[in-house]
Amino acid sequence: MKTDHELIREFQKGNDASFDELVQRHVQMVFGFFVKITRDKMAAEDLAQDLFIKLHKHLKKFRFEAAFTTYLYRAQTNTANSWLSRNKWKHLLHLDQVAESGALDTSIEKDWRRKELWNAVGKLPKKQRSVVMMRIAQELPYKDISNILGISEGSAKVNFHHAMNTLKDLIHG
Amino acid sequence: MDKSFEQEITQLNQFEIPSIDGASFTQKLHSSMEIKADSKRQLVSTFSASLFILFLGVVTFYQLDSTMGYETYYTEIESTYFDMDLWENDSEELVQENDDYYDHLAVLLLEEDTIWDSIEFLDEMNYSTNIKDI
Repeated sequence: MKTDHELIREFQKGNDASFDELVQRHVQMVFGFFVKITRDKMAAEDLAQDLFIKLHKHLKKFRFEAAFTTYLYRAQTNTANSWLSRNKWKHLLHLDQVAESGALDTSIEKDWRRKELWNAVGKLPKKQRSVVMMRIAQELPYKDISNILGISEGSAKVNFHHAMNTLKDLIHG
Repeated sequence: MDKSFEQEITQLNQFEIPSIDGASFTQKLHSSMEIKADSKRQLVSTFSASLFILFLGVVTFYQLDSTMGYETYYTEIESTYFDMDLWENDSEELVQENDDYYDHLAVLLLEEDTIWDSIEFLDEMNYSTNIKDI
């Protein structure tokens, strides 16, 4: 089985099938991450599409300095960040009150709490938001989070701690 | 840090993720990329066409403007070459015709041996000319 870097090299040489293989290898993980944040299959698929379209454009200049997954996590965190910012305005304008057709969980209470949680995450500063997303939706260890965001492990922990306190205040009042 | 809150939200986000069909996703991805590329091409061609039309419009405007200037210039020049005031030409011709008429009439009267009548007529003419001058 070819490594991610080998597939990217082939793609850079003009082999589009290698890009497709790379997509199929990581699409489930990316889709799962977006589903946890959006709580909506359709929105998650749209975000995954946007992400891979961006990757298709930018992978031509990939410099193989880090693992592809590091690059992918960073890209998906940025995409989710933008979505949460957009959603924050939707929430403020009460445009998200109607349940989406692709809503996943039948438990209304749990779904409502998830919605409340991610709306609160959307209000956090960008760095704290990114750490929370990776820690909760991706379940990554602090070491990986620090690598992806280019910060120290301690900084990642501090950001997460601050984020938890703020979220607790926002959710429980 | 409050571990129970962290556990609470971690558990809240632990639910079964539906699987996605990689092949159909890739197919959709390629059609999305084509649509995006098409719309980008369309945008570029619309922008280029608009620029071309704008350029053509500006060039045509200046071209028309300069031609109009040229024509005006030559019209002014031509008006100095030829006498274009037709009304004055006609009136001069009319004066010329009247002069000829009186000359011919005078010669006719002299040839008819009605010399005194002619002198009287010429006096009258002179008289009426003097009246006109006054």
